[in-house]
Amino acid sequence: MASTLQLENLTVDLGGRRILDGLSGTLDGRAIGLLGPNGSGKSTLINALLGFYRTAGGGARVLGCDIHRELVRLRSLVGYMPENDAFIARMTGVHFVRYMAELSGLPPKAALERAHEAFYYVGLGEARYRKLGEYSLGMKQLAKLAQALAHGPEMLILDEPTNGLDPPARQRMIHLIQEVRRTTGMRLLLSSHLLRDVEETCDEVLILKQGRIAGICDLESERRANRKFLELETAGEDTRFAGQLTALGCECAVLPGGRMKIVMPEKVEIREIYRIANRNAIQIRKLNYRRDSLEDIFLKAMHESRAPNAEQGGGAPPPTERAPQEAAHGGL
Amino acid sequence: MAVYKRAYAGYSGDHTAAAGRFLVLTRYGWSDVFASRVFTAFYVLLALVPFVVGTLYIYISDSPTIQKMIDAQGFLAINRMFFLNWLQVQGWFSLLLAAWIGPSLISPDLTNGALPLFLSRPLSRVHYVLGKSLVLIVLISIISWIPALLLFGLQASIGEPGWAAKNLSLIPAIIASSLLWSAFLCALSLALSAWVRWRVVATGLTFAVFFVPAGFGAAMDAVLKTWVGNLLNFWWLMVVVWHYLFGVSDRLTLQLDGTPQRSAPFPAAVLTLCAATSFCFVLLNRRLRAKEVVRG
Repeated sequence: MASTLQLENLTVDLGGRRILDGLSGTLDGRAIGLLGPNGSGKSTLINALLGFYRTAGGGARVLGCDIHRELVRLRSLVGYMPENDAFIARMTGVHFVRYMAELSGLPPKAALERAHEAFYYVGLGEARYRKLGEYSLGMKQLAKLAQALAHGPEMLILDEPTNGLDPPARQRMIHLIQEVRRTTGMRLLLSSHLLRDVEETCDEVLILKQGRIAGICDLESERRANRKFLELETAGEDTRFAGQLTALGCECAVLPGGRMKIVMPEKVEIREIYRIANRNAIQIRKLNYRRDSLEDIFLKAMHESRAPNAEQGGGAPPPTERAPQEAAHGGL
Repeated sequence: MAVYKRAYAGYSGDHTAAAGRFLVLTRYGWSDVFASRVFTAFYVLLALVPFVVGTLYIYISDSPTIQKMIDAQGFLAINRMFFLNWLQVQGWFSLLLAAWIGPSLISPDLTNGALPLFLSRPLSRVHYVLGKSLVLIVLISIISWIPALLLFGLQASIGEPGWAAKNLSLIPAIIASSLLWSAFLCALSLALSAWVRWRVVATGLTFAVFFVPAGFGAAMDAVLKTWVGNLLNFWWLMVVVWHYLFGVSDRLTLQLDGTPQRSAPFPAAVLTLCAATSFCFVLLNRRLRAKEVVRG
């Protein structure tokens, strides 16, 4: 299966300024988040991938399609939800989505059928005959999602899908994106400056900073790896307990006040710790999974990209390399 | 993806041919303009009334009995001037159509930023402009060269023998002049609507482009005793083209009162119209971007 996104020294200049500077990397995740502060080049990257902006150098492949040579094929494979308002005010919702589906190549009858279905799918079924100009902001966002879905793309490109939404509408949009990810074979490319949106919907993250890659992070493996990192508060003789855990393959750090930090090897189950604690008459009063939130990863990537080597190549070491993070957690 | 299940399913059905997909834009454009009953009635009148009048005219001119009855022998001759005058009338109506319909084709897509949605489909900007232009070009064709050719055919079939052979050069003249005029009107109204975005203003500007520079050009000609000002009068340029293509250019050299008239030559008229059309398409090309780049 082709990679979701392959960047090959992608460079984009706009208005005489370098906006994307030699982006390189491969992302295979089913749901990729583009993360970065405002002005970092997230939307520019999406626009370059869709052929809206001419590249100044390098190239990219989306679902294996070269953005220069196979643009028409690429556009027929993706559904795009832009960041800003994008609608024809005097058209009804269903008419508009049908129009877009027909332009993507669906015959008129199938396009109409799918437009109705897409509207029900995003939860706007009852409003589909209302003019788009009369929709609220949240409804317009959902209508944009409906038009991106209607022609059955293989990949959805969502540019700031929760922009301007109130908390319930945002939650609704996130649930929809999660559902699309969970229940369809579709791949996602989601751009957002909101860490929570990306964390809740994506399994791989490309972090941009000032037009360069500050980090590429596989959130799934990060989550799996972090699940083995424990913080304990115990009561009792913990030296022997720590020794037995070490014999089991764990790395332990005993801290004052009965606190312990443990990194468990992959094969060890957490019930083993309870068993050993029971054998040693140790009370486990508190047990926490300590995992990096995306915020930690993001901040780390932002910090690391300030290093001179990262500035030059746009290739800061990905946050999956755990050395700095472990040091921060007690030097294990 | 069924409505009642509220679940997503991919699309596995047939797709339309990619080459003709821009015609979706044309079809939706027509459906949009004919959604207005006022426009539909107006357009039917534009298409039918001149054609019916032309048909009656030809029928009367070819019927000596009726001519004798209304005492108009020789006055109602069907010749090159008949077709030229008929096309000029339709030329004005075409301008009305362009001013009315042209701005409604592109400005709604630009006003609320829908253009990226069009251009993120397997559809190029050339296809987009072609699809939108066809809306207007076909509407203009239906009231200009198509009925003109039907009238030509009618006259050829009921007129005196040899009339068709003698006037065969009218056919390419009718088609070429109408296509040049409709291409110019189409490019102008689309470019103005893309730049102004506000439909009413774009309509006003379309008329202004015809009248304001023409007045300035006339003043320039009067003061400088030249014909260069003619080049700013697009309607007059088209009149020149029509006269030359229809082989009646001698009618242009004298004014009604018999005094010599300064007029732009045919090559200058054609070149100016083609240059203006190209310029409009360049403007369109600059405006029709999925994303605008702000320089600075």
